[in-house]
Amino acid sequence: MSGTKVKNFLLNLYPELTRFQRFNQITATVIPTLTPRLKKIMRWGLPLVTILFVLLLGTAIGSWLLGLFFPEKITPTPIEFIAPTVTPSYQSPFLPLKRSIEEFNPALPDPLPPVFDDQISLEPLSE
Amino acid sequence: MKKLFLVIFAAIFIFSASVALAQTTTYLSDYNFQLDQYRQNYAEYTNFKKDYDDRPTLNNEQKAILSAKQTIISRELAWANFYLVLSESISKPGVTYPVINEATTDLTGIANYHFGQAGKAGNIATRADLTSFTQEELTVLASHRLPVTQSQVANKLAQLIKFQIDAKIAYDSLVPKLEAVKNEVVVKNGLDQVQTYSAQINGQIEALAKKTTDFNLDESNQNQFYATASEALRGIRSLQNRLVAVIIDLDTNYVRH
Repeated sequence: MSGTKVKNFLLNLYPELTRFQRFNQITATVIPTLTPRLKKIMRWGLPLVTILFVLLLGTAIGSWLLGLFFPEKITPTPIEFIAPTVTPSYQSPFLPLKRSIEEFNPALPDPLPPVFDDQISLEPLSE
Repeated sequence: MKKLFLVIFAAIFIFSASVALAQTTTYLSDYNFQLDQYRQNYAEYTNFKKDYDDRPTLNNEQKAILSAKQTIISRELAWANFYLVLSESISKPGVTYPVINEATTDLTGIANYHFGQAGKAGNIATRADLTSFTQEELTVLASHRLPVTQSQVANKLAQLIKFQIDAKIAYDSLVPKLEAVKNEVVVKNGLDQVQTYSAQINGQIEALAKKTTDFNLDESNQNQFYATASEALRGIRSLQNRLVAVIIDLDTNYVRH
């Protein structure tokens, strides 16, 4: 799109623009300065920037709307911790004796005697 | 000078304590070591004896005799240390009681016999020596069965008597502390229960000790005797448990701490 085409397009849309001297000045100074490289950048850059802008705007609007529908987070008040009253518990000095009695093994024989061959001989033994 | 005396006293105490501890662990570790030796030697002896039975050559006979000798030595040393371990266990609670004193004396004698046999086994040189050694050993071992059986029960009785002594000490220390509440029904009942249980336990210990002393292997079966004695020991333990529970209850709930 050349500079003149832009100017014509704008004037077609808004004929009143001819009344503004400033418009004539800008078109007279800006349009000739648009190099082919700049025009190319604008050709692809403008739609890209527009798309990005629309996306960001949409996301922002979406999150704002999400905030409207979700209930507010309620943080429960901390439960009061009641520390138990420490009561001194008495430990009888005779408890180890009770434990020793409980651990006493009444099984016999204890210690178990080893099993050996008491008949080691190269000859038959007489009874 | 005082410091020097203290240092000497502490050194003597540490030395005697460590000697006593080392003695106990030595018997057990010696027993375990000799048991391992016996197992190895016996496996070798079995192989050599089989070779000799298959091919009774002079060379095979010599190998079998040598191996049998080694096996017997380790067996005798294992027996000796086993009896010393048992004797040590009986003496440990430090209780003096006829059946217990008798058991420790018997076991020391038996252990010495086996140590002697280990030395004598070193002289076995021929097949006839081996046979005669084993014949003699079998006769003596049969005579050891009774004192060894009695010692097994004495070992258990020593522990129960020690519990009884400790319970008596606990009771004696408790009575003065209960002076202020001794007329309360619960306390009175508790003290009466202690007396009753003590009398019952002493009676049962005496009965088992007598049964052990009177035990006769010719008339009774050893396993049956062990089963009956074990049942009696269980009964005494149960009574001692109740006795100490009452003492603890009195101490915890009726003595002002």
